[in-house]
Amino acid sequence: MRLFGFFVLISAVVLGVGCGGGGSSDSNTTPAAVTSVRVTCTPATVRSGGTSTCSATVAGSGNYSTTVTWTTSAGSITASGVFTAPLVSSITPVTVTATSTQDGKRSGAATVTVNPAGSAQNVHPIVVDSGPPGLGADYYINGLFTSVRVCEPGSTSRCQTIDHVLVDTGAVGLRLLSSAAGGQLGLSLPAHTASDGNALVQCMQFLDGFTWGPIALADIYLGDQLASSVPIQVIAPADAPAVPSSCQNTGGSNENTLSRLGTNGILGIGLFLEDCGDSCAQQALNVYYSCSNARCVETTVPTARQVQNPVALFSNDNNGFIVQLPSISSAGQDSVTGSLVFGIGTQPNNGLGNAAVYTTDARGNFTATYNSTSYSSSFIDSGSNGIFFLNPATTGLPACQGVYSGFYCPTTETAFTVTNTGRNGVSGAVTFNVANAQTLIDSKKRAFNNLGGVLSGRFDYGLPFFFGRNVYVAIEGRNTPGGVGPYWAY
Amino acid sequence: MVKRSPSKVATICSLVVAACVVSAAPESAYAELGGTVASVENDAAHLKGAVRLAPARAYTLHEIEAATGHVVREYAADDGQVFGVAWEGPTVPDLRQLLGERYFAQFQQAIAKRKTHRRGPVVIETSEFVFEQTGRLRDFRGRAYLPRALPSGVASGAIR
Repeated sequence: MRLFGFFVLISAVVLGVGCGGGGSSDSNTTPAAVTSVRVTCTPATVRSGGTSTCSATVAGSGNYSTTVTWTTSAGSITASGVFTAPLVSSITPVTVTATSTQDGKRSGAATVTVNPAGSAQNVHPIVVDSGPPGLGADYYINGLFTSVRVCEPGSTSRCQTIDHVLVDTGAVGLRLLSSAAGGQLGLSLPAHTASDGNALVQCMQFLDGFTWGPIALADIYLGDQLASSVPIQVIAPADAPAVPSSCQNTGGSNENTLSRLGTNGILGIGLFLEDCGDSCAQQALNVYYSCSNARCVETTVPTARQVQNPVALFSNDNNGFIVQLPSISSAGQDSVTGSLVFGIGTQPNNGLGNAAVYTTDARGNFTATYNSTSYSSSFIDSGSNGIFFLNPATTGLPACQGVYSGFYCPTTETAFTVTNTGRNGVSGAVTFNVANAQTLIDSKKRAFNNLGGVLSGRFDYGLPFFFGRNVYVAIEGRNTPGGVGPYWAY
Repeated sequence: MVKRSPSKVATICSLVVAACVVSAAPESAYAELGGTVASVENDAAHLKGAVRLAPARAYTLHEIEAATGHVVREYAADDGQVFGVAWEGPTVPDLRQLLGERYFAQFQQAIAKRKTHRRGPVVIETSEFVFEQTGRLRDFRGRAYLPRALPSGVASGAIR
């Protein structure tokens, strides 16, 4: 009976795109009432005269109508929600409103930012979808991707645009899978060297695997923004030296093919200026290696020569960025589009607004408190598929089994409210839902706001946290209107 | 009560230079999950770290702090068996050494079976072996333990 009630709830939340009317077929005799209308427009930023597709999510009870009428403060909008921006000479916010036809007092609104044609752009599109087409049945779930244009340093012709690069706020630096390994990068990029003049090669560590390959220099374009001569990692080129045992012994898989890595690369744009930081500058660790004649030894690397956060190297809008993703249906979606907006408080389209600033410690952590217990090493990471927290005993949610293990599989979708506290003492509650991961994954959708899993001792707010939020990432040491980074704001 | 043990710190290699360790120490010298407490000092040597002992009811915690920023905690029962190990640090440590060959192999097999393109914490749980790892470069944390070897009255939450 509870399971039945869950599905009725899902069916009552209907996307309003092009909806001609009608309502849910609830067999109960609850009076029809609309309780809320939510609006999202993607992309949230368009150029003068451009279009954005808006959708309304109507919630209610009984046999309510999901039909809405669309209005806009500037430009025009069709009956199905396709917005056409006005011609503007300066950056202009436009309000798009959907009003319930059943109850004119119920409406929702969203803001679309319209940039003048030809203006400097600090907006770059992102998408949540299956990942690179070559993955087939092993497609990605809750993977946030973007396209990156890379050039040989100083060249505007020897360039490649590489699609489906994972956007990861948890690991700094650009890493691209070589064409030899099944990726797209085929440019001949100049090698970056260790202090002894030998090739500098990296063992980049993730939780269940590592990427191995040389550091090279590239110009990186994210939209119109350029970071010049940036150290990046080339993953598994044909001439890479053998993986040293101290890298192998980190234990995960060597992610040296498209099917293993699942993406054409990783764009790490987190809180920090470089990937490893002082630890690798002061100690020879199992991260950076000086390689000569196929023999590799661990080496120290000054922070400025480590793999760099490209956003921090833009000439403008370089103090941080915003990840913008719309709210999505709890049933999941096939794809979701959003934006990276570069800079914080540097342009009319990247102000902090009402976002609260949560500063982090030197490792990028803040405190999450649930049921009076505090977890002081919690973090936000767009590269994590789900929100990972606590365990079945604490949450009361059963763990999934088999290939789904590690996720939660509750019979009914369950809400959690957690208080996040920055190192600056700022506190705020966040609420998220956890649904049955096996049901979600088996639905073959690609984007979920309610995928959760097990993690003792800390909260890892993965991609579900980003849906329906503007998440600000302020880079360490950089000034913003909200103070000096590193911090998260939302 | 935490006291500093007599300094037996050798400076052979860091924990993360496994190739060097292999040539410098016999295989049997590795501390490992399920092994004996006698090998903890060898781990300390590999880590260039100092050991602190924290006796608790039914077990002793050996905490190794390395100059590399890694902290390894090894939990030995009163009979000397290491039943749990926890680690944190800027990089993933040499898990082959900390887990031992048997459980390192189980860890690798479990990783290979995970549904592809999952990114997030690693949680492996069998009746014999539990492994958890979380974080990212600059801040990795993990623990592993043998549920059947936990001393009576000791909860798994003690290993952290």
